[in-house]
Amino acid sequence: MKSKWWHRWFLTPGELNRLGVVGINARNGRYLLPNNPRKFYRSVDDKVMSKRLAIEMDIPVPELYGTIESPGDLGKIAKLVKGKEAFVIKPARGSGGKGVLVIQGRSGDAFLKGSGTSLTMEEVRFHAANILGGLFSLGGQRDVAMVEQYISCADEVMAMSYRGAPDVRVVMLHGYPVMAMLRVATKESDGRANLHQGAIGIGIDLTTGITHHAVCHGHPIEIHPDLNSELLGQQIPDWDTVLKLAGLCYEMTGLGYLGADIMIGKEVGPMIIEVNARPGLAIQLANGEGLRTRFQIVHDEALRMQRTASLEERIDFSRGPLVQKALQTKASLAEAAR
Amino acid sequence: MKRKSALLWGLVILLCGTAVGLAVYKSTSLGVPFLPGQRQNAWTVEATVRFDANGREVEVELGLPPLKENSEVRQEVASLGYGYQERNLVGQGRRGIWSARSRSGVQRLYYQISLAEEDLRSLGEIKSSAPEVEPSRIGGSESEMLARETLRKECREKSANPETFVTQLWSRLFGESLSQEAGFLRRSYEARIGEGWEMSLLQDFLQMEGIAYRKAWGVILNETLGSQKPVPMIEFYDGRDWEAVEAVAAREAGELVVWSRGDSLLDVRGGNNSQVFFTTIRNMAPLEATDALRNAPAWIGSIAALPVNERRVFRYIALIPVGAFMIVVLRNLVGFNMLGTFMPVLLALSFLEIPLAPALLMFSALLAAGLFFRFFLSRLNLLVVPRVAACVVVVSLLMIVFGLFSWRMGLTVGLEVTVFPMVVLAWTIERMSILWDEEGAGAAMVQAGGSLAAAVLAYLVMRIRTVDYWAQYFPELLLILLAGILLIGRYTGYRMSELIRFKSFVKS
Repeated sequence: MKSKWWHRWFLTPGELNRLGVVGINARNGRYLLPNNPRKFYRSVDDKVMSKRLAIEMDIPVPELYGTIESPGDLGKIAKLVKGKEAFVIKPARGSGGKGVLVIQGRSGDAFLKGSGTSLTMEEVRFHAANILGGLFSLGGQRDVAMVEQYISCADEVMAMSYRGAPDVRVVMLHGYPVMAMLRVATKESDGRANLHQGAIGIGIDLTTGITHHAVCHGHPIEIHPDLNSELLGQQIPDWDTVLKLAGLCYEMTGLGYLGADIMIGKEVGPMIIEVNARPGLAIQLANGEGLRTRFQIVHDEALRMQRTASLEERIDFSRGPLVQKALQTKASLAEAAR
Repeated sequence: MKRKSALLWGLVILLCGTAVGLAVYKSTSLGVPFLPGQRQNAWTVEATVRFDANGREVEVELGLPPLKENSEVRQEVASLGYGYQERNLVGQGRRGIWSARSRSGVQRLYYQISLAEEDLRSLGEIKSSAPEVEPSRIGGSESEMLARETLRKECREKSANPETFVTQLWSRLFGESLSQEAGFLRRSYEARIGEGWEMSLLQDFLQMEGIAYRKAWGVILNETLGSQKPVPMIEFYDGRDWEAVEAVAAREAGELVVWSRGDSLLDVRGGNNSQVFFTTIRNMAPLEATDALRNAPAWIGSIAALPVNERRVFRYIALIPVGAFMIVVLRNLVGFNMLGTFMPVLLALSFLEIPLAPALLMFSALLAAGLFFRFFLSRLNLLVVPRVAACVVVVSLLMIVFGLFSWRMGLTVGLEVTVFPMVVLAWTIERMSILWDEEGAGAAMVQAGGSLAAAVLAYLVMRIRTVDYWAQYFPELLLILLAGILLIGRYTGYRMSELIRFKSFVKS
């Protein structure tokens, strides 16, 4: 696209439209509401339930050590984490990584967070009490705290993240992977992988699982600002498994539009961390490409196959024809613009 | 998809059609002007008498404003089981008399009058000459007499006639800077007489000076006041006309008009704990239109047909959808980031009751103080609900302290701090502090700023005179708002904030 003076500040709606960018209103109105019936939300919004579903389907998930369901259970935490060097406490109904406490190690009686801060048992219990009170759950309703296994990530992806576990987000429509990105932490994001807190989003090529584009705060970058490590051209380990797990999330939840969050464990391999029924749109920035064209292609394919395609067929379509068609459309649009 | 769109558009057309149809009918057949008039301002003043009846015969006498011939006036009396008549008494003017046999318990009587603003202003003008009054000596302690004499001399020297004398006197007694004598007299009268001391003080001076006077009662034309007590006034004769001054040292803001005259405003026989209070409201449509609306069939709604006190409440109820619409626009079309979905609407409603700048200042101060306390609380490791409850207590204490401080410093606006919805404020503090912990001060500030900006914008729209007028006289136009909200609910285009968010796409 020709550079205009206003591009320093904004793009016009027409320009965004030509780039195929999907906005929040379009996501909600066109993809989320029609494809995600309300009754399916429960299975993803309650993570205890989605974990049970995943185990039934043999999908690898971090082991659940136990749940804290009432203030009376708070004393149970010490017993649950006994002998566990590292663990995670998170709300069953949290969203966007809110209220997730990651303990990566111990030093005497103290627990160590990823950032190096140490917490006492009392503080850990207080965090669980906040979860029970509904501080992090949608709408502030009462919640359950989950104590689960800590996954230490594979070195290949850990090399791109500053003190914090990176995860892969795959956006799916009708069970077809549409776009993927790796989210890695920076010093600014304080160990978290939330893009609006300064984490880096790295676009991944669906076909190969190789990173090809990266943004921090919306600006394209190539090198990690804190680690100086190369962000582009990196192979995500076990890419076939990552896509297969993402694909299985569709069978598991029945959600037509979803985001699968997958962590790549050092020895245990890829694991589903969370299924999101309302995945955000930052993945477009991370890939430098709008979602709309790909959504359209997948939608047509799903109609053509009358929604009967098997997991393998869907993944093969996404890794082959989808990426090629999207590229063609992009090229022809650029041609037309010229 | 197609069918849903058709349904939506059908609904939108139906809603708009109904709204426009009703509005046109009101405007053409009932004569309600479609835009608020500039000149035809009319006021409705409602007097409410309240007392505890003793169980025997009851007779209540209330001073009423005199009626001028040829002026357009609507009066209404409401009281269950009472007989009502009016009487004209010499020196007191018109009195309304309610009577009933064997009443007990709390009684409420209503008298309502609507008339044009000019007519209301000239209620006090009664052409009649006054009797000659000889100057007379006023008793009291030695020092009081001395102080009065000094003040009287000062005023006489600086004045030419009764009118300028009273002006001088008033500013010396109740003005900004008080002389020693005035200060002494005020303290002395206040200690001796208690409530109503200002009246006696003025009376004594007028008697000393030999100026004819009579007592009167005034009402403040200010619709934001709610219920107000009658303001004691004194009318004095300046040789040609009766002039009125208020006999109070401090009163609420707004234009003061004479309601009635006579030594007593309210006499109740057969009851005790009696009191009268007034509510004023501005009618933005001419009186005939209000009449037409009241007599119209029930399906033609208008708040104008309700009793005055209720109208104040319903007016806000009719304005809330306007605020909600603004929130929808700001969220889904502009892309504002806010704390709590409709919190800004409540905030905007409280802005309607006080001037914007002090309101913003007070809100920010409360928020900052509350946040500070909340950070302290978070070190105590409290559970969520007790913590928010503690925040509510602290916010209420802060409000009280705020009111006291500003009152001490002579800023009455600080007392209006009570209009802020307290529980909403406490939750806002809680949410903001969590955001602060979770995503940093920047994100918290952005969201708080977004909420404030949305509240101010919603307030600015609700404050527009035409919007206020439509909400009161054409509530059916809210259906158009509803149609707009439905349409925005199906809008799948970009939000304005996304034009900025995705700007880096060009580079890639």
